[in-house]
Amino acid sequence: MATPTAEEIRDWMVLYLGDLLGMDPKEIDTATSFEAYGLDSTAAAGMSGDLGDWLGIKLDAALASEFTTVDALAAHLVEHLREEAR
Amino acid sequence: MSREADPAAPFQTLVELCRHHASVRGPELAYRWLRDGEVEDRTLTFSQLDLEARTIAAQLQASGLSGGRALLLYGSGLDFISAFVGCLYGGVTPVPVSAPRRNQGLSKLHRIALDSQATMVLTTETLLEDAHIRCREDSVLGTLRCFSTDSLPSALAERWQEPDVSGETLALLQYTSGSTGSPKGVAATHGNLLENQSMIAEAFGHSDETVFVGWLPLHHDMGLIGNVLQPLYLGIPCTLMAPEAFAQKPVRWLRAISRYGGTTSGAPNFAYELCVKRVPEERREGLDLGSWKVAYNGAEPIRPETMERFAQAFRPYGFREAAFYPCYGLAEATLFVTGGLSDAPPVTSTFDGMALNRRRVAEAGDDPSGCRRLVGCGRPWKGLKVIAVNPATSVACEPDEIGEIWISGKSVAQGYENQPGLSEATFHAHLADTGEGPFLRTGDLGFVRDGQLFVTGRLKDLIIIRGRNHYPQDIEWTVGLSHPFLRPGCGAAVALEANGEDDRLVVIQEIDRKGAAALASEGSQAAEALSLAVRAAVVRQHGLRVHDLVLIHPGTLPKTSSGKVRRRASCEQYLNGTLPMVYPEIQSTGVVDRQRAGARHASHRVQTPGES
Repeated sequence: MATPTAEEIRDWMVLYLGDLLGMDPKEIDTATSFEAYGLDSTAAAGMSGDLGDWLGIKLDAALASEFTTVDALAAHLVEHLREEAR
Repeated sequence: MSREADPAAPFQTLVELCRHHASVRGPELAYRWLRDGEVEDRTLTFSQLDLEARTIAAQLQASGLSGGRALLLYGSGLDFISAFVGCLYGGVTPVPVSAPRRNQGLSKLHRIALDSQATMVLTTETLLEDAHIRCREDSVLGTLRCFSTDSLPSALAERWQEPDVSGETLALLQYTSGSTGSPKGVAATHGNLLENQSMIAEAFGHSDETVFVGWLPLHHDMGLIGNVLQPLYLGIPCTLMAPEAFAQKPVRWLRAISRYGGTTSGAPNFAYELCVKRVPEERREGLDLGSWKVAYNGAEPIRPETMERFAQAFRPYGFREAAFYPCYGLAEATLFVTGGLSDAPPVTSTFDGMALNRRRVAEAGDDPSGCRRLVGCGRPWKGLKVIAVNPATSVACEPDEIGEIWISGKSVAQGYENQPGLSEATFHAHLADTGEGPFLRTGDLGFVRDGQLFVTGRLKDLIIIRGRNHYPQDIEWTVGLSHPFLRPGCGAAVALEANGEDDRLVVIQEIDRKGAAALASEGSQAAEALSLAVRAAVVRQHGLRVHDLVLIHPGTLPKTSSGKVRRRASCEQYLNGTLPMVYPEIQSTGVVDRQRAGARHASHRVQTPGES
């Protein structure tokens, strides 16, 4: 897999959250916090696990409590992937 | 040949027990830690554990802290175990707490420190600096001595002196999530802990060939009494990982059981459900669950559907349904109360649902839609007595009557620390007619049928989600303060049972006039802002997702004449759709709507219209 862009990572998360929360992905605002969508710590850890699998890297279980929106997490991951590639 | 299940009967204290294991099986593995739930990171043999415990104990003794209480502030890892045993070796009572996350306040820790009269905090080098900085600001926490227990020179161990402890000495203050302002610390002695360990060993059919695998939080009763102390009691190996590692990839739990040949491993119901959902077929490859003899399931309502789904999913990988071990317990009884025979399949019985709602036990009728399936939680062991009692009259129930579960026996704890009134009411109940007692009142409802305890609900309004207890008043408090338009003290938090899944949290909350005006003028935008504020606050403070939030007009929440919130009545109105909602047309805020979440109110078994 080519290194995904921030937009691709955002799209992945929006689809994932839509599926998890039973919402239309179109309704998910990428600047709204995961907390506000009611993502609890078990679900947030689960997302980091699945996201890590998709990206092929190991992600910290508590990542979503540090980067609290889709936008922030995607931006962080793009930076992280860039550093890994170096 | 395997030893009998009760290797430690002659010991009076956990200190004697640990010293014994160190001397007879010193080089054998006691605990193994899996980093990220996968990589072997650290191990402790029985003699290493003994050495670390003596080192920590010597430090505490040299600091003049023997006889005191210590907050154990640890992340996930084996350091917690050494510190726990180190406290006991030093004649100090351990008070396990969860390390607050960065975005959580210190208020809970503050209250526990105050209530337990702790004089010290034990933690790790990594957490120490952070703990110091944060605790310094706090009026209570700032006065405590802080020690990092993972960097002490082991030469200290030479100076350890055996503490003067007996079976009656306090060995644990186990804090349960108490209601606002009143944390409850269950006081358990060495005698309580050893009696409970002996019961678990016998009921679970444990021997020196038992192999433990676990991921439950170590500072919680089930993780501590079950996964840490039972292996220590038996002198057998235990492989552990962090709860976050499990939550991130539930398959790690099953892989660890496969890899280490785990024979006993368990969790609350939600974990089995999570495995079914999050370990799809392609991730099951290579699993070998044939060694798993006791898959205990406790601490939250046990769903027959979950056990069926789990068994179906993992039968091809060696899982045997007879391994399921439904059990019942609570911190006030140290932990374990009832469980079945370890080699027998779980007992699921079908009852008349309408009768159960009226607290009566009746065989199911012909109409399958009116039936309710309940999982039996087995029977008490080793002389423990468990009965159902009418909570209003304190008279033992008739066989067809549901009542509060009362317990008496040697593993019932001493009481709640610092709460003589509450302890007397909870731990020293007597039957009104015969005077028999004292009994522990559990607050749980249930009945005994054919020697099986069936738990039907909670007498108190306790909300239990994912094995953790939440007091509705705590959640209501959080909600009331989460937005200026909401009226504190005018909300109800209730749990709804959802078809075989985790209970769901519903919050009913009054808004004030300004809020009503804002909703009138701004409509859905204002409703959305309120909803976001409430949901964020509840997740932050309680780790819970609000499945439905209903905003109602000021002064309309059902209350008693003395102003107490009537949760049951609120829930009934919610389910009938008769709550006076503010602009119901714009309140489409629930992620799960009432139809989907609908089903019965978990605590009170209110039936939804149309559901029999």
